[in-house]
Amino acid sequence: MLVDVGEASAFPERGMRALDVNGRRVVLVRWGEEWFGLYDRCPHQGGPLGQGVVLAGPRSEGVGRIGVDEREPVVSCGWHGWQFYARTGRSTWDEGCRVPSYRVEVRDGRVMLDAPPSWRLARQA
Amino acid sequence: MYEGPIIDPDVHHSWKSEDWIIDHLSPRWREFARASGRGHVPLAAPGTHWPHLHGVNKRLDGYPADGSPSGSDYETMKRQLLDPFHIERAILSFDVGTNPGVFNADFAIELCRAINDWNIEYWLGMGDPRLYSAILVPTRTPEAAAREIRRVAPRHGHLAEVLLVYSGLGKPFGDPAYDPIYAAAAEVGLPIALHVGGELTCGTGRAMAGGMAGSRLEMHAVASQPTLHHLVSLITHGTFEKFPSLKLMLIEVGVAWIPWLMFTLDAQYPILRLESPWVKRLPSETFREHVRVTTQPCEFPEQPKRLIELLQCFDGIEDLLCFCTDYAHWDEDEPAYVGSRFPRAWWPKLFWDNAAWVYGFPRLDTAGRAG
Repeated sequence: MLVDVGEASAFPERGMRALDVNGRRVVLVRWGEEWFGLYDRCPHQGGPLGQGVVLAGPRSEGVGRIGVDEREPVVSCGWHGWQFYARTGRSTWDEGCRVPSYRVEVRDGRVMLDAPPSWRLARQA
Repeated sequence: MYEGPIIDPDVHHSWKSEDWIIDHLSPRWREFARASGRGHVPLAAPGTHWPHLHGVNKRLDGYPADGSPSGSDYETMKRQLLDPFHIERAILSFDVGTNPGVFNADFAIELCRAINDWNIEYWLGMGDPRLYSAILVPTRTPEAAAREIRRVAPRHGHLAEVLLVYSGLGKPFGDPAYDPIYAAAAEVGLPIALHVGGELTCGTGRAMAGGMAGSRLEMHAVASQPTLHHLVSLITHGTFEKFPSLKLMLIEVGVAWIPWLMFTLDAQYPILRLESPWVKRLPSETFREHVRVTTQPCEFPEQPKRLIELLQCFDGIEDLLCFCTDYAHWDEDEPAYVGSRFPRAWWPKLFWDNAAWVYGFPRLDTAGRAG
C-alpha cells in the first residue's frame, strides 16, 4: 500500500530522514534520483539509523586500496557505525544481517513509500 | 530482559562551554587561560586521534539540540540514558578525564580544582539522586592530587570515585610515586577508577607497545594494553598490601582478558616473586578481593556462549563483572543487548551488586530493588 510521505523536493539530494509511517519508524533515503526505505532500527543494539549518515558504499579494490561505489549508498548507524546498503537493507559485511527495506517511488513530485498493510492493522488495533 | 535497577559506572559528561571551567579558575589562571585574547589555552591534553567512522567518538544522536557538546546536557542524558534504561546510579566520569594531561603541571592542579568545583556546583547540584561523580586529580603531582582528594571529597556525598586516566609521571600506576593518591583515596573511603584512554589520547608516546597503530580498528583492538599494564603494576608493587581497604574499578577495557592475564600472573608468581616479596598472595586472589571490571566494550563472539565458557575458566567471575554503557560514546553498550549475552543468574550482580560493592551502595534487596 503506497503511503504519501511528502514532497520530493523537500528531501536533501544525498541524505536521509526518519519518518513515522502508519505508526512505524522508517528511514527514507534519497540518493540523487534514487529513493529507498529502511526500518529505523539497527539490528545490532537498536540504534536509530536515521540519526546516522548516508554515504557512498565502500568497495575493496585489493589490499591497501579502498574505493567507493557511488551506485550503492550505505546507511551508517549513528551509534556504532554498523552499515547497511540502502537498496537492500543488507549489512555491508554479513549476508545474514539485514534491516527490513521498503520500496519507494516518486509520483508527480510526491514521495510514496510501499508500506506493508500490517502496519495499518497494527495501528488500528 | 533484565528490568531491575542498574548502576552505570561509565557515563561521560561535560560542560556546555569551556568558559564554564575557565570562570572557575583563580584570577591568575583565568588570565593565563585567556592570555591569547583569541580563544583560550587547551583544557585537555594535546591528543593523538585516530579517525572515527563519523568523525567524532560519540553516538550521533547524543548531541543536544542546542549544539553543545555530547554529554553536556542533563535533559538529553535523562531522555537517552537515565530514564529508558532504569539507571538508578550513574557515575559521571568526564570526557574522559584527560584534562590533567595539559602541559603545565601547575595549571593541571588548578584545572582539576576548577573542574571538580564546577562539577559539584552544576551536575551534582541538580539534585537528581541518580547522579554520582568521579573526582579528577592531577596525576603528575601525586601530593597535589592527594590534597585535592582530601579537599573535595568531604564536600559532596555523591562523589563516588577517584578517576585515573592519565599516568602523569610516565610510570605505570603501581609505581610507589603514586602512593599519595592511594593513601588519600583510602583515607576518604573512595575507590580508584582506572579508565582507558590516558596513554592513547594524551600524546604520551606510550599508547601501545608495538608502535602506533595505523587505523582505528588496529588501535581499538589493543587499546586495553596500557590499562592491563597498570593493573599488573598495582598488584605486583603491592599497592593493595599497602592500602588494604582500596578498591579498584577498571573501566572500558572489556573482560575476555581476565583468565589469560590472571593465569599468567599466577603461573609466574612463584618463580618471579623475588622482586615482589611483599605480595603475600597469588595475584588472582588480590584481583578477586580488590578489583572489579566493567563490561564495555564487551567482546561479543558470534556464539555468545563462547565468551561465557571463556570467562568461567576463572572461578567466581560472576562476582567481578559490572555492566556499564560508556554513554554517549560511539561504542556504548545497551543493557538489554549485554544482558542477552550473559546468564540470567548473573544479572543482579552484573547490573547492580558488584558495582554496589565498589561504591558502597546497598545491595539489591530480595525483591531485586535498589536499597
